[in-house]
Amino acid sequence: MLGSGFNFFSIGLDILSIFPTGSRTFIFDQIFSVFLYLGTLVGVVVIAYMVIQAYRYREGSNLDSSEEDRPKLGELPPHSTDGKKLIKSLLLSAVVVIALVVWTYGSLLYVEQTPTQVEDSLTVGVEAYQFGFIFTYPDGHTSTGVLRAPENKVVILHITSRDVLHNFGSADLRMKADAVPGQISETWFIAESTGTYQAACYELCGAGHSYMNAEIIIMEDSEFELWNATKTNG
Amino acid sequence: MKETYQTDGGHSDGHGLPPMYSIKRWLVTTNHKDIGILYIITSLFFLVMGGVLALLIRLQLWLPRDPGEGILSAFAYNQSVTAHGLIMVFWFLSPFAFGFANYIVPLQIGARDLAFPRLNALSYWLYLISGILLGVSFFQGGTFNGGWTVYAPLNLPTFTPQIGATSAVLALFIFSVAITAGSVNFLTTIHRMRAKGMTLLNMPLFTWTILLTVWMMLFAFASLLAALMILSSDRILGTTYFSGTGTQGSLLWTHLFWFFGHPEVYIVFFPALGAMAEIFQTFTGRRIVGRKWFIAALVLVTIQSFAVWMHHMFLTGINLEVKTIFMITTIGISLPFDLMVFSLIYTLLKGKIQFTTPFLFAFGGLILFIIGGITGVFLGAVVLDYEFRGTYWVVAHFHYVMVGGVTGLIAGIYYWYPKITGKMYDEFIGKISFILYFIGFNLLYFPLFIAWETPRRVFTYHPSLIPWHQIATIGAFILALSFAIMLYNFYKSLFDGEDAPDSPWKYASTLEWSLPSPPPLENWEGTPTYENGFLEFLPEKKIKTDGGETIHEK
Repeated sequence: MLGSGFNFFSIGLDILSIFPTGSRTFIFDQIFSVFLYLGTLVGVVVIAYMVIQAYRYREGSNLDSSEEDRPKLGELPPHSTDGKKLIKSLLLSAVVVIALVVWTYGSLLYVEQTPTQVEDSLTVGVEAYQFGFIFTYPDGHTSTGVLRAPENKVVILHITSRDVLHNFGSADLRMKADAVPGQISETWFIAESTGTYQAACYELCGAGHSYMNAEIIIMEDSEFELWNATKTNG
Repeated sequence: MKETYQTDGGHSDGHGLPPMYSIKRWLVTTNHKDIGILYIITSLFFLVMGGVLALLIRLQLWLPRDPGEGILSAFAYNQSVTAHGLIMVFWFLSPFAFGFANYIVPLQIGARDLAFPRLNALSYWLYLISGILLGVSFFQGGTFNGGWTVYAPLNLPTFTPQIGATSAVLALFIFSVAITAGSVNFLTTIHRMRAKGMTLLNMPLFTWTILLTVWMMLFAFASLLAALMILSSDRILGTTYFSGTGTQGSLLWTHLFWFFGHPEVYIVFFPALGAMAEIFQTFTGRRIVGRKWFIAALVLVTIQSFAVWMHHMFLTGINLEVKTIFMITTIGISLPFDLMVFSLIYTLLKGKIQFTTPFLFAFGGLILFIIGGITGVFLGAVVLDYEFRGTYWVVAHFHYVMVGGVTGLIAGIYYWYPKITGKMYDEFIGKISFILYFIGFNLLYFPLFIAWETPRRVFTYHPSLIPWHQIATIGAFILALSFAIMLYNFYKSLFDGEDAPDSPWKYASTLEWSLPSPPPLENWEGTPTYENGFLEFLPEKKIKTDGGETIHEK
């Protein structure tokens, strides 16, 4: 299902196939779950280690060694010699973090390059204003607050703002971009099933910010074609 | 400073300063310890103010609201989120840390006062005035309501016409001036007035973090000050630098703001880190593992902090090359922090750990910082950042980091309370306050990770997230209760606490613990020196014959 929409366009990133590619929802969910799994693991291990060691070396425990050289009032810090373990741990954590982020970089390239590489797409202009969104279709038709698009098709958005800095994003479709006055930001999404998705402004823009929403209605291809043909008449 | 030697005797209340119970004393003082106390108390007032706003926000978020529902109107809600951010970041966190810095840093390095005591007093009074102005701005048609990031062009009178919004901008402006004056003062003090033998590398870690903080302040606040000057000109003189029609205005502001804003994260966090390091050392009875590396990591972060600001702008349409560079620098800056965390953890090993209240807060603060750090790596991956931006993931992450920092500073206030007041705090109530704090904190902020799809700064959200937001609201009140108990502890102990010895802590090593609690006005008789590798006080006679302060001897 996921790959089906993508067989017909070349993304030129075959070499990066170990990185998640596909819809933005798919990419996000893949990467997020790996991060979440590893992050939880690292967090639990590190915090458990801390708590256990702090308990083991509490004052009065049987590990309490009185021979240890303790800090004294008025001393200057002596030269520390125990840096090796520290550097080893640092290198280990660096490898994990860098590997993770490099792994996601391929997906970033894919997300960035998709709009220029797909052959069959729908481009819609989004103009944000206090407090709503206007969508402009390729034929010049405009609608306020509702964006209609066909399923399984890359929808490219050209986002700008009429007044202040806004943001157009949809958590459902894992898509988001700033709406900067005087500038066009480009982003894209692909919806794999029909239905109504929520979109909202993600940048504080004034008193009506909390209600600056829009709907993205995803229709079957034929249904969309029908709507597309009739809207210009009406 | 010559006149300080003309009065004889009565070191605790002499030198023409009125006694501590007199209000006049606090108006005329230039003594670093007095000003430290003023900073701490004033910043705690702002903590309460910012905290009340936070509780209002959490109450509004109890349920997703329609316009006009709940205790806050849409306009009041926007003012609350904005002022909460501004107050906590500017008027609480840094001044709270600099209360300790004022009190402790001169003691730790063996300086009798800051380099410019009057300038120090000026910094404090400008800080207080700016804070009062911000408070007043609420009653001038509403305070600024465009978020603590003050993004353009929403920050222009066209979109935020309230007089109070202009007042808030001016308050920030005055605050930045106060900070800049303060940073120059601390730089001079720490670089020029250390006791003999106290080299830079020998400095206690708290002083180290303050030194690096003021270096960052010097450059970062310059950028903010520039931005605020232009903005004030736009708001008051009618210029149009951040005009609403062009892209230049809004992007110019984001660059200027975040060039300040990212170092600011470390500006508020570093002092907490320094306090935590000292507290770990004192209560584990172990010197910080790899101290040299710890300092190197701090220095590295200080420099790198000025090269990551555009990771706040990944969605503004910057090109892939720039995104890549800032993704690399962002991952790069997380690594020195890994080292510091490991260093603190390894310090526990072979320790003789006393679970006092300050240690519990420092230990808890480290746990919270680790969670904040791990969730920050998620944001470092740009593909994930695209979706997290503007959501509660970011909110939860930076509260774990920043309020994790607050936790470290609370450890600091318990740690130095006996030194500053001469009284011991109540250990039992202290531990109760820690337990409530830690539970409240995690109930408040952890559910926000789960409810991350909530957009920031809105009070409508998907009904499926209601339980998580309600847990967070309950957590907020538990956290607030723990602060109330802490303040009660400090107030009560002031009157019926046991008298504190010079050093109530067995393994304290820094200079301030060799002085009486509280230290006398002049800190010490004679001249502290580390010339022979340990702390000594040279007899006072020597100073008198030299006829001046020891710094001149250098």
